[in-house]
Amino acid sequence: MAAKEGKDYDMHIKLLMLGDTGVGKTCLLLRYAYDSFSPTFITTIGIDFKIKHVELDGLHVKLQIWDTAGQERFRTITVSYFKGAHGVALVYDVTDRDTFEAIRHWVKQIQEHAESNVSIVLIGNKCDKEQLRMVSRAEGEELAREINAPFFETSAKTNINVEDAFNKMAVMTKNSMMLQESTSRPSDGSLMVDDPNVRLTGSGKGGCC
Amino acid sequence: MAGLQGFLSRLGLGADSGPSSTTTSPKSAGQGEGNSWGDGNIKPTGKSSSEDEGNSPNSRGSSPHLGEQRLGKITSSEGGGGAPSANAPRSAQSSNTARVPGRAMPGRLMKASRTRPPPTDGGSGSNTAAKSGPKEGNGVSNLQSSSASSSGGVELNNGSQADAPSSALSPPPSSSPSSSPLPPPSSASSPKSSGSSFPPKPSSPSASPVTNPASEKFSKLLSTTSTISLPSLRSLSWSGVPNSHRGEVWRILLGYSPANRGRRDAVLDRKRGEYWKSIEQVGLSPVPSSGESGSPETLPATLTKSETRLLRQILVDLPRTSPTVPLYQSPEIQTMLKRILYLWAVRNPGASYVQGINDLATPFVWVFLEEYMHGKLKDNESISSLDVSSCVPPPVLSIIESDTYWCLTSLLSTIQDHYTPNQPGLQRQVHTLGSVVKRTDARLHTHLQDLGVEYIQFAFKWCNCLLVREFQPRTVARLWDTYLSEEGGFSNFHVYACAALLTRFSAELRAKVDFGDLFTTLQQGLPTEEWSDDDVSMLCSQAFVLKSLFEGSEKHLE
Repeated sequence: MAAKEGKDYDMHIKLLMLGDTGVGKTCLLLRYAYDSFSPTFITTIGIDFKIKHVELDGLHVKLQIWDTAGQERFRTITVSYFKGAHGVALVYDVTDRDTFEAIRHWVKQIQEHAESNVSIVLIGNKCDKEQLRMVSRAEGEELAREINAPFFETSAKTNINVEDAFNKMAVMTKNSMMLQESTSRPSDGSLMVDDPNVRLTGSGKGGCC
Repeated sequence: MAGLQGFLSRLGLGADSGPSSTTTSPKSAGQGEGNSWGDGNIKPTGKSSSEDEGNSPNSRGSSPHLGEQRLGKITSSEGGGGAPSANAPRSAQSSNTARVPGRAMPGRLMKASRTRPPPTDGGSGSNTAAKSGPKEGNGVSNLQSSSASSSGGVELNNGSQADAPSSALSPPPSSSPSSSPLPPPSSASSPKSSGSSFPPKPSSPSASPVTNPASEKFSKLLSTTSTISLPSLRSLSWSGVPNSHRGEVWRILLGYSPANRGRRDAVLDRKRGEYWKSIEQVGLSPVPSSGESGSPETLPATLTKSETRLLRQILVDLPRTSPTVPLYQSPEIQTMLKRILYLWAVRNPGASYVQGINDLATPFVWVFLEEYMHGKLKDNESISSLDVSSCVPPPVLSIIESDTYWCLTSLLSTIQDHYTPNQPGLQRQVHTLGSVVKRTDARLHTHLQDLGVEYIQFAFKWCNCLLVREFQPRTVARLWDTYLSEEGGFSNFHVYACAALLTRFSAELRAKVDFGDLFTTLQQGLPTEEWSDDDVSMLCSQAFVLKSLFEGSEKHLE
C-alpha cells in the first residue's frame, strides 16, 4: 500500500517496554528490531527507543518502541512515557520470581498512568534457561488471563517467540487504533477491524519450552 | 583554536574576546566536593585544611557565587595538618588571585567575554601555577626523598594515628595488623616483597626516561613541598593530568589522600583498613575475586531480604557495566565492584544503589590500575584488556578497591541528590542544561524542540552517568581531571560540559531532520571515539566560558 502524504508509513504506533530491571527488555527489543543479541547489554538509564517498520495486514506500520529503565528510582522519568503509548510489552524473567511478582505492580502503574485502552502483552523472557526456571508457564498463563493480556514465553537469546510477541502487540494495537478511528470517522470503516476483545482471550499461540 | 573561535562567535562574542595576555589557567576555587564523606564513616569535623581556607576566600573574592556553601571541608585530621600554617591562606590567596583574573566576573557578559579559557595544550596552563608554587608558605623545602604515599596502605599501621577521625563506624583501633581484616592475600607485605610498589612513590623528574614537561611539573609539585598546595594542584590538573600521576592527584583532589605528605601513609593505611573492616561488617567476603555468582543461593545467608535484593541488583548489573571493555568483565574487577557498590549503598540508604553508579566507579578502577601499570604495559597492551589476574597482585587490587570506594564515596557526596528519590539534583541539571543551550545555541535548541526531542531523553543519562558512557575510558579520565579541579565539578561544571558537548556537535545534530535519527544520535552516543586529550581540553574550555557566563546569573537562564 502506498504511503500517505510523503511519509514512509501508513500508521505510526508507539509501544512501551516495561518490567523490572534485568528481565531482558532491551535484549528483546534488540532481537526484534535488529535480530541481534548480546548477553551483556549495558543497562538502560532513563529511556531509549528503537524504530521498526513492519507490514501488518497490508499496512506499512512504523513501530516506535520505547525501552525504559526498570529500576524503581527511574520511575519519575519513565512514567512520563506511559501516556503516549498505544501498546505495552510487560516483561518478566521466568528465572526470577520477584520480577514475576512485580507484574501486578506494573499493571497498576499502567492503569494509573497510561491510556485506558492501551494494549498489553505479557512476556515471560529467558525461557531458554529451563533449568533455572522459577515461574511455570501455567502461572504465566494464569496471570495473563487475570490481566486480560496475550501471553508469550520468549527467549531473546535463542530467538524464540520474540517476533510473534511483538507482532501480536502491534496487530492488537493497530486494530484498537483503527477501531477508535472508525468509530470516530465512520467513513473509514472499510478497513478490516478485528474484535479488540481478542486480546482479552488470547493466550498466545506460540508456546515454547 | 578555530573551534573555540567559532564557539565564541556563536555566543556573540567577538574574536577579540580572548586577548592572549589573559591566557590563564582557570584556577579552581575552593573545591568543596570530595571533602565531605557521605557514607557516615568519616564525619566532617568542620575545620578545613589550610589549602581550603586559603582557596575559598579567594574564590569568594573573585566570585561571590562560588564556594560559599560548600559542604564538608576536609576534616582537620584529614586535611593535611594545615593548622600550623596560618599563613598559607594568604599566600594561596594572593598567588591564586594573581593568576586567575578571568574568574573574577562570572556571570557578567562583558567581562566574561574577556575570559580566556584555559589553554588546551595539556599542561601549558601550569606555568603560572608552577611559579606560584613556591609562594606557598609551607613546604618549600625539597622533600623529594619523602616516601609519602609510597607503598601506602600495605604496611598497615591500622588506625592508631592521632588523627583518627570521629568515625562512628570505625572499629576500635585495637585491631592489630595481625588481626586486620584486610584481605588475606594482602598480608601486609606482599606488594613490597613481590616487587610491587603501589601506589608508586611520587615520581621524581628522573623517574621517567622520557622527559615530559607536564609530567615534570606534576612531579615537582607533588614532591617538593611537605604540604601540597591544593590551589596549585587544581590549577595544574585542570588542563589534564599525566597517566603517571593521575591516581595520586585524584586521591588528593577528592580529599581522600591528605595534602600533607607526612600524614599520607597513616591516613591511607587507616582508611584502607576501615574499608575492609566495613566489608566484613556488612557480611561480604573480603576474599579478592571470591567468585560469588549471581545465583541467589551463593549470596551470604546473613543478609536481610532487602539487602539480598540490593546485592542481587548489583550482581545483575556487574556484567552490564561497560560491557565493551574487557577489563570490567574480569572476575577480579567484578568482585571488587560488587563490594564497593554494595557497601556504598548500605552506607547511603537515602540513595542506595542506583544504576549508573556502577559506571561512576569504573574511572577510578581504570585510573588506579593505570597508575600501577605505568611503565609495565607493552606497546600493544592497554588497560582496557588488561589481564588482571596475572598482572596485578591481590594486595595491589585490595588497595585499588579501597581507594576506589573512598574516591567514589567522595565524588558521590557532592551529588547525592542525583540518586535520592525523584532524583532532584539530576532533574535540576537537565533543566539547567536546556536553559543554557537555549541561550547559547538557539538554533540547536529550536531544532530539538521542532523535532520533539526533550533534553531529559538523552541528558538524563549524561547526568546520571556523568558522561562516562559518552566517551572512551581514557577520555573520561581526562574529562574528570578538569571536573576534579573545578569548583563543583560534578554538580555544576558538568552541566556546562554537557552544553559544550551539544554545541560541539550542533551542526551534525541540526543536520538530522528526523526525530528518530536525532534521538538515536544523541542516545547512542555522539562520535567521540577518536577524541584526543586536546578535544577534551577544548570542550572543557568551552564549558568554562559558559560557566563564566551563566554561573550565578540564574536570570540569564530563565
